[in-house]
Amino acid sequence: MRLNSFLSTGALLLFASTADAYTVFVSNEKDNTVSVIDSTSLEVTKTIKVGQRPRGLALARNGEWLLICASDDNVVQVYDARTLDFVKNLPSGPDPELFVLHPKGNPLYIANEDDNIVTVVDIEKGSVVTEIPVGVEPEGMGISPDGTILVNTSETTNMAHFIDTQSNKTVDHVLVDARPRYAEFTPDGSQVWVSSEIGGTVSVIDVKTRKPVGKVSFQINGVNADAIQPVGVQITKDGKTAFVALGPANRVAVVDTATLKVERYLLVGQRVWQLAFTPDEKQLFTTNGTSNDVSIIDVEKLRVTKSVKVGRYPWGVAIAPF
Amino acid sequence: MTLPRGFVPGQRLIRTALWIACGVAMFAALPARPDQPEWPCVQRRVATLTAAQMWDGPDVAALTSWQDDAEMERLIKVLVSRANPMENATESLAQWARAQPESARDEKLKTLFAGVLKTINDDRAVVLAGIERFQHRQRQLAERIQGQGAALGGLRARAALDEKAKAELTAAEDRYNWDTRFFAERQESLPLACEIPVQIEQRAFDLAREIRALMKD
Repeated sequence: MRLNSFLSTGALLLFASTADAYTVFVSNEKDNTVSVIDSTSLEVTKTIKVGQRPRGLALARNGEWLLICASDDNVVQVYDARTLDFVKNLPSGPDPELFVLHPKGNPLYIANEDDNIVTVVDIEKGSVVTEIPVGVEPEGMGISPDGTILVNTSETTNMAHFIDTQSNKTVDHVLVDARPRYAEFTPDGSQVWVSSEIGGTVSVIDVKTRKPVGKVSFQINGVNADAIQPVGVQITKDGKTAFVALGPANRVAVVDTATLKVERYLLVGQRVWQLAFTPDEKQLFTTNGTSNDVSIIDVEKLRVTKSVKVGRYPWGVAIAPF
Repeated sequence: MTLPRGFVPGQRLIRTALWIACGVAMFAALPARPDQPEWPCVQRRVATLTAAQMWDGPDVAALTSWQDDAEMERLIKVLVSRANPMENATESLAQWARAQPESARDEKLKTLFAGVLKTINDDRAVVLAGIERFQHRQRQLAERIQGQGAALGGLRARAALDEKAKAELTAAEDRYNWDTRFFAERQESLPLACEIPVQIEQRAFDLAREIRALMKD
C-alpha cells in the first residue's frame, strides 16, 4: 500500500516535471483586469489592472508581447508577457473588440465594432497603416495561414468579408447565418469556419471559391435552441477536430471536420465564449462569461478536468509558450 | 432694444439644434436587435433555463412533487433568494441533505433541483418581462422626444414674429428638456437592469453544482 502510494506520488511528480508549463492570460471584461494562470498548477498567479473593458487578447513577438483590446479606452494595450509591465498603447480606432495578427507577426488587424471598419496597425511603429470599410458591427477576425486573406465577420450585415491583405481591399462577401461572431481558418488554409450566434450554426466556407461547402448544426438534449449560441472556434493543428463554444448552452461541441458532425458536447461553465489551446494542444481553455471562471478541457480524453475562478465576465484568452 | 446679459446671437438656434441631435442620438442609444426589438441587453435573450444547461444530471422537467413537500418548498425559497449569501444557502442545503435517508437522497435532491429551477425560471420571467416593458417605454419616449424636436423648428420660426408663439416655444423647450433628461437618466440604469438576469443565472448554476455534488449517481 505504502509502496503503491509512493510510486503514484513519484509518477505524479514525474508527470508534473515533464509537462510543459505555459502562461494563460484571461481578460475580465467587467473588472478591467487580466488574470494570469499557470497551465501546470492551474492557479491564478497574478491579476493585473489593465484598460477599460478588456476583451480580445493576442500574443505578438513570439509570445513576448500581450496585446489587449481595451474597448472603452479605444486603444490596444501592449504588455510584456513575462514581466507583465505595460509597454505602450497602439492606436486601434474606436471600440476595438477582436483582432488578429498577421502570421509574420505584423501588422495587426482590428475590428472596430462602432465604426464598421477594420483598422490595420503596424505594431512596431505604433501607427495606423490603413482602414478598411466592412459591414455593420464588425467582430470576428480570421487570417489564412499564409497571411494573404483576412476574413472579417459583421454582426448585423450577417456576412463574412474576404479581404486581400496585399491591397487591403474587400474582394468578396459571403452571406452566413445571423450574427456571425468568429472566423477561424483550417490549418491548411482551405476553409474558413464562421460561427453565427443567433443562427446557432457554423458555416464552413471554401476559401478558393468563397462558397459555403457545409454547415455545422447543434442539438443538445434538454437544451432549448435559443440557448445554443456558437461563438469561439478552434481547430486542432492536424485539422481533424474543431471545438466550438456554444454560449449559454454551457457546452463546447467537439466536431469532426471531415463529416461536420458533432461527436460530443462537453459541459463547461456558463456562457462559454472564447477558446484557446495550449501550444502542445493538450489542454483547451474556455472563458465562461457568466460563471466567472475558465474551464480546462483535456483535449485527448475530451474531458473537462477543472474550472478556475477568475474575474468578472471573463472574455478573451491567449496562451504564451512559456 | 435691450439684450439680456450673456446673450449670444443664435443661442436658441444652437441649443435647439443640440437637443435635436440628442434626440437622434437617443435612438442610436437604444440597443435592440431586429429579431428581439424589445430586448435591450447585450446578451441575447434566452427565455427559459433548463436543467441540461446547468448540470450533467437527469432531466427534471417532469418532477413536480416538491410542491407537496412543505419543508422542501421552504428550503427552495431560502436557496433561490439572492439576498441570502451563497455560503449560507450551501450550508442550509447540506444540512437538509444530511437529514434525508441515504436511500432516498438522490431522488430528493433531483426533486429539490426541479423546484429550484422552476422557481428561478418563474422569477426570471418576471425580470425579463420588466426589462422588456422598460425598453418599450423608452422606445415610446424616444419617439415622443424626436417628434418634439422636429416641432421645435416650426415653433422657433413662428416665435420670431409672434409673442404667443414665443411662450409656446419656451413651454415646448421645457417639456423637451425634461423628457430628454428623464430618458437619459432611465437609460443609465439599463446596464444594472440587464445584470439581474445574469445574477439569477449565476445563482441557478451555483445551486445546480452544489446539489449535483451531493448526489451519488
